[in-house]
Amino acid sequence: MRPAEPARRRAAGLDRLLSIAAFLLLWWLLARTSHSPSLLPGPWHVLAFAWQQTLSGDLPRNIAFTLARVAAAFTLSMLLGASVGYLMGRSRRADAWLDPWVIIALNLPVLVVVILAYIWIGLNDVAAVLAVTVAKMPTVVVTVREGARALDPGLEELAAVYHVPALRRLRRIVLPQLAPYLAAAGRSGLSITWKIVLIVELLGRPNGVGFALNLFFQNFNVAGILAYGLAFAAVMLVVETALVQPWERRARAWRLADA
Amino acid sequence: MREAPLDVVIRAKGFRRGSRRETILRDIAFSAAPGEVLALLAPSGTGKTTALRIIVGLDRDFDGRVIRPPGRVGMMFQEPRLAPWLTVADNLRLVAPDGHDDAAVEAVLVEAGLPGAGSRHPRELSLGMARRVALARALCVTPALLVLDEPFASLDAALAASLARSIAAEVKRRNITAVLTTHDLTQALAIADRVLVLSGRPATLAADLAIAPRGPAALRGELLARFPFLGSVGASGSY
Repeated sequence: MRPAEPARRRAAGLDRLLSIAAFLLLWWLLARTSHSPSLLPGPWHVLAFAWQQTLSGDLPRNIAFTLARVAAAFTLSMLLGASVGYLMGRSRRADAWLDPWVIIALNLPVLVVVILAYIWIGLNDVAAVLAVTVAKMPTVVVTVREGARALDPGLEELAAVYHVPALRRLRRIVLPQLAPYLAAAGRSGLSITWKIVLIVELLGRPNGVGFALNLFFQNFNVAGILAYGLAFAAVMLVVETALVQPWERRARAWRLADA
Repeated sequence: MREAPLDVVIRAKGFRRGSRRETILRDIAFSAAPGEVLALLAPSGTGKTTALRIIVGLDRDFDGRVIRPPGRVGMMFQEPRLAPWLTVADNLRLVAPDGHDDAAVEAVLVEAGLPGAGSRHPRELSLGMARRVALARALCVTPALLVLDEPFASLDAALAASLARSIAAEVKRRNITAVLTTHDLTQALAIADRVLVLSGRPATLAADLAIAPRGPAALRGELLARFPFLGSVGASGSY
């Protein structure tokens, strides 16, 4: 059914636009009927506020701070989580030792991690990034462990017989097989990471989207909350579609071609 | 025996099957000189693959010893075992020594009868071609010892014969010690210098015969008389 494909994609795109328009209409209607405009400001009001904050430089600056923290915590949690997950997937002993830790970490409320990090390390960015890393890492560990367990033993034997050097083995045999798992961990990881970063900022940072949200909460500025929340979600959506999804497609390419 | 032979002694090789330990190989000892091709014949499920895994060092859990000729080992597994995400050339480069450039890789592919196949992916190859790539990969490490596990299984007779010719030619040209398993007597007699027969349970070395003095035809009759199971498989071996 190849010829019908572009037409169907166009129709789906139109449906998406209509859906967003319907959402804006509903929002506008609710704002109109609400008895207090400050409780639910309309879409235009929020947009105007966002524009004004953009012109003043506050919105871009706070988003930049938050993005920097997201990038740092995401990179750290992926690197550490993938290493630990690989180790646990390859070694039964490492798995037995570390599994209880992972289970505890998975079930530890994020808030507890954040508060303890601030108390022990101090109200600084090191504590903020570390807290997010610790909160995010266990899911990366679990996903990559699954991938490490699924590695093709035949290729491993091949590498052993032919004495393939460790670095080449990692790059050419292990990573291509782990790529879909890394992509999955990265994708779910990014959305979790930025949500945790907002909490961390709300609790103890003097800048960033989370800090701004806290300020607006105290001033009862709903337009500000909506403007920052939606603007940041939009930025993360762009990051996701422009960076994460293409990479994930590439990581899965050889598997899809196989099927 | 001349310099640096392959020397294999397997006194006993056990296998855990459920709760009990079963011996599958016992009292197998042989050597092979450089340039010599040994064919290991046995019925399916006798432990041929296990013996090969011991010879290349993948299986160290046995009673005995293996001395390999100094140098690298090239192995053709029963399946081609090509990394599907790498091109044919990259599959070769994966095992090749550092500094193996494009020209060297292409030269190996030409020798294996696969000119220009370097840029293709394994999924684009037939089983016969994939086997040839696996052979090319084994040869591109310039091995001192070449081990082939059922290289002709599930190939048609013509393809098997042409692959056998490539293997025989390379082994003689480079003075490689080669051990291959097969349950196809015809192919074994066509390619090997010596035929080793494993039989019984646990499997022992029941025969170790050089082909040259008797000639393949006479040896074929003798082997079929002593080991009827060798006649029970088709011309190019099937499972």
